[in-house]
Amino acid sequence: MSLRANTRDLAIILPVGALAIFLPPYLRIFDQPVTVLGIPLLPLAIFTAWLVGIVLTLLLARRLTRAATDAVGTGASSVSAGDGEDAPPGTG
Amino acid sequence: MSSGFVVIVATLYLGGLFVLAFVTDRRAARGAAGFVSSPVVYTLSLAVYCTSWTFYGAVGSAARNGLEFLTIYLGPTVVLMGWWFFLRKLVRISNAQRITSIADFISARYGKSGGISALVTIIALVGITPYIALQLKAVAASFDVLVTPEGAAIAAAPEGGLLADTAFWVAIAMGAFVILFGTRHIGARERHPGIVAAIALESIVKLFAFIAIGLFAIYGLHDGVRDLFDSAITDQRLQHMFTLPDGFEGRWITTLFLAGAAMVCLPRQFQVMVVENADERHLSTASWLFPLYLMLISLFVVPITISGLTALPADANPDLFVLTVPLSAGQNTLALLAFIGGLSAATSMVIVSSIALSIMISNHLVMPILLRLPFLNRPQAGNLTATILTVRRLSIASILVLGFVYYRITASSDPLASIGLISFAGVAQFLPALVGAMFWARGNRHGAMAGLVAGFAVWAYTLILPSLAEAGWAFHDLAANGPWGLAFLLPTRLFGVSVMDPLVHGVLWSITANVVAYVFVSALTEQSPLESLQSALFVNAFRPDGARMLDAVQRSATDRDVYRLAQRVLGLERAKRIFDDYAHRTGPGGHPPAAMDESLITHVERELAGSVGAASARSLVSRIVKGETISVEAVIDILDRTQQAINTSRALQVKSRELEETAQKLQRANDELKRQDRLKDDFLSHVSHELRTPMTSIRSFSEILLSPTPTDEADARRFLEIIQQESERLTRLLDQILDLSRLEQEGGQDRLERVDCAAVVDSAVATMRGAAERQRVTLSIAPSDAAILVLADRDRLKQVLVNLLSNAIKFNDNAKPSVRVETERVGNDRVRILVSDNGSGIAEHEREIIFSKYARGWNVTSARASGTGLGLAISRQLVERMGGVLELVHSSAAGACFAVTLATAPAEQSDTPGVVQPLRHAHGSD
Repeated sequence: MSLRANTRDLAIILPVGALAIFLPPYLRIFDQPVTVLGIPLLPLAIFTAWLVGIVLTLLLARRLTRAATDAVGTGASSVSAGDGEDAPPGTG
Repeated sequence: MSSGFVVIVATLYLGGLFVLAFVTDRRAARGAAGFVSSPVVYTLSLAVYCTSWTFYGAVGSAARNGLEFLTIYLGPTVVLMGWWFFLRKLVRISNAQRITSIADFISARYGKSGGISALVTIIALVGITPYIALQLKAVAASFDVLVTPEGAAIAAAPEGGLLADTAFWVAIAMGAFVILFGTRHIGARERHPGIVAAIALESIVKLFAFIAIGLFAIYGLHDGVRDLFDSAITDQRLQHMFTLPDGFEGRWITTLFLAGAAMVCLPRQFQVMVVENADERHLSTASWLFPLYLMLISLFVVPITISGLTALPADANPDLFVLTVPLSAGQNTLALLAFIGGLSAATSMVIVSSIALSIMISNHLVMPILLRLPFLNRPQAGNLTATILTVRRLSIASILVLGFVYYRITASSDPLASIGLISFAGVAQFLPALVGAMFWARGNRHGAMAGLVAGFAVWAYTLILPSLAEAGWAFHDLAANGPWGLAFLLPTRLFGVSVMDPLVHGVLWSITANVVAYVFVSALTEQSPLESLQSALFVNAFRPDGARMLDAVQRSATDRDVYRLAQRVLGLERAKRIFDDYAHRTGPGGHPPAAMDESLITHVERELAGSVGAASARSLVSRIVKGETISVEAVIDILDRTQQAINTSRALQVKSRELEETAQKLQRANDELKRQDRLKDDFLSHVSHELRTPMTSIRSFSEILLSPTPTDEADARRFLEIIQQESERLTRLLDQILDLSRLEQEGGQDRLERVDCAAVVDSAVATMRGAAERQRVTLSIAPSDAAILVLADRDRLKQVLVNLLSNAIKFNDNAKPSVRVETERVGNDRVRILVSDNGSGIAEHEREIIFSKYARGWNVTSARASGTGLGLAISRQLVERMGGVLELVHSSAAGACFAVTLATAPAEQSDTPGVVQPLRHAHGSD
């Protein structure tokens, strides 16, 4: 199987989404004089978003790596390579 | 704390690093790189990003500017998250091209230009030297704080002699370390397993130390997280930690951008992330593990800052909170741990930066000059390896001296953070050329050169010059009044734009100048053939046949020249290995081929580039080759052909999927036809058999009657009766077959009338009553409450019911057989007539096919009774023609139940026969 298109899209949506969250207009959403469990909302929100981003990146990295390895396993690289995806060197 | 004790601990720690690096190098040399080539070590080595600027400066920045310090760690986080598109390509290209540094990368892409790599090296040197000085300053300051009895004293400018300065000894130790482990030999690529192992360990140490201080601030100085914030939230001095000030946007976006750019453009980051990368797949682990590392560091900045601002005197230096917070609480051991953490952060930065810069200086500044010297260029000149290593060692020493001098001169000025950011802004000038190198095929050497020069100039003018003026060294007049008194050219207020923070102002103008120059000059000038080739190789790095583009290069050289060149730069052993490998690959000859072909020359050039950089390697090779041509047409042709092949293969994929689907459909249709064909054969053989039985008896009785022997009158009559019965049976059989085929051929629907359902049921039951009694079957009708009118053909409906009843009676093998007829309404507009028996039911495999005229069930029924067995097939046709459904509702060992479902007649309709909605076409009655 060549790398699925939606996985590839996620690989760009994730960093762009993370960047957007960490930029001013959206960041202002959390700039409220509120505390959650005694912790001010703004730092809490930034660190939570950060952690969620890390977990999503982990899941996505697993998926991307597996897809790339599969592409080598089935020898489909000649077709899949056309999508800009081919296997990391040394796995074939 | 006594200074002797601190010195001993620090010396032991650095000694430990030496041992670790030594052991790792030895193991790697034996081919047992082991843990060093693991993705975790790779990730930890990336954490060289967190220098003492992070370790001490992040808290200082948080104390001064609040949450802005987070951007320095969010920027790289976003870059790592996008690894699949950006970093992966960067690493892939660099591995293929044997890239040794960021200067090498940019120059290799833009036609292996020596000018560009030299310029990048100079910018990096100017930008990074203050940064190295900053590390030395941090070590010295932290040492002073630790050994000064007052602890919280603000670190002053270094007093006393050179030998009393901690930074001096740190610089000496680092220099020794880098020279020992960074220049032992020239590798295939600039890889240094010993150094990577040491950096990874230092990353663990600094993270551990920082978390320890953070936890102490939370649980030692406060009573947990809630308590920490409880006291902080109301504190006026801490409000900037929990909210974003007005107008924070400019600096926030700028520092986020700078940090992201620095992650790629800082020479030390490029070194650990790209050059030292042993396996592209390590990036996938680093993509989440490194952001996690950064998040943990950032997380503990908050409690340390809060504790520092609330517990320490207002004049305490926030840049040293990491030390002074534990010291003020009397936690000397913890403070020592913090010092070691800070030392780790500083030394790892100094080590990697000086190694990366020394490679750049030797490959891009010194070697190009040396290679022009006549005595080094004679073919019989000696081995270059030793020369290169010497140059490297001298470069390292110079860098550290430069950094140390800078530190001694500026020791008392700027806080840590602003030096770091100006440095980031300097290396960010590489970004446009770097991104263009990977994604914009038209970007060329002139554009890159123009962009770098413009960006560097504006950066120096808007950021460096004012800071020099501020320190009171030079340019004071210029910074205050502008050049020639022109106010609109003021370094901090270019073109009269005055509302911005100086950093935002400087970054905005320098990056703008850089991008504009790069794009416009690239668009207005042409690429050289070599640039076209390199840009094709870079931009299309993920193409499977990228290597074939090298076919576009044509050149030749004698094997002796190539061999001697390889030997001079790479050493005897490696040169021999390259040629042996090549000979092994190309054929069984065992000797290098006499006429060098292009692929070997390219291979040797790459290997050389891995040692001296692309530009120098090219200049070396070009001296021994003759008649070099690069055909741009060939490059374009290969690109086009690849694109075509990809398109064709996609089209073929779609086509073959379609074909596969069609083939499957055909296969299914074929299977169905075969089955039908088999059933038809069965049918024919059964019909023949059925016809044969009565025919046989008719024939034999006729023969008896015709025989000369007179037959008894009574016998003769009986025979004739049998002949008549059999003929009738034959006729009936043929009638039914004709019926069935007529029904099938005609299709359509009959003219229907309003029929009282109960009356038809009664009539059918009455017909079958006699047969039922003969077989002792109890035949009953469930009472129905009201007359139900249905749309049907009266005779045909009766025929169907009689058939169902006759089957139910005939095949009922129960000891007390019974058959029951029931009529019920289904919903508003349908009626169901159920015929159920208590026989043994219909076998599972027959349920599907009893309605088929070709069915085996036909045989079963006919074998046991006088019926033709076509009954159910005909009945179903009849019911369907009335717009209804005949089905087997259920069947089990306790009996079977058939149902006829018909539409009820609309109550208000007149008595004239109606036509049910025609399905295919209306036709007259038959």
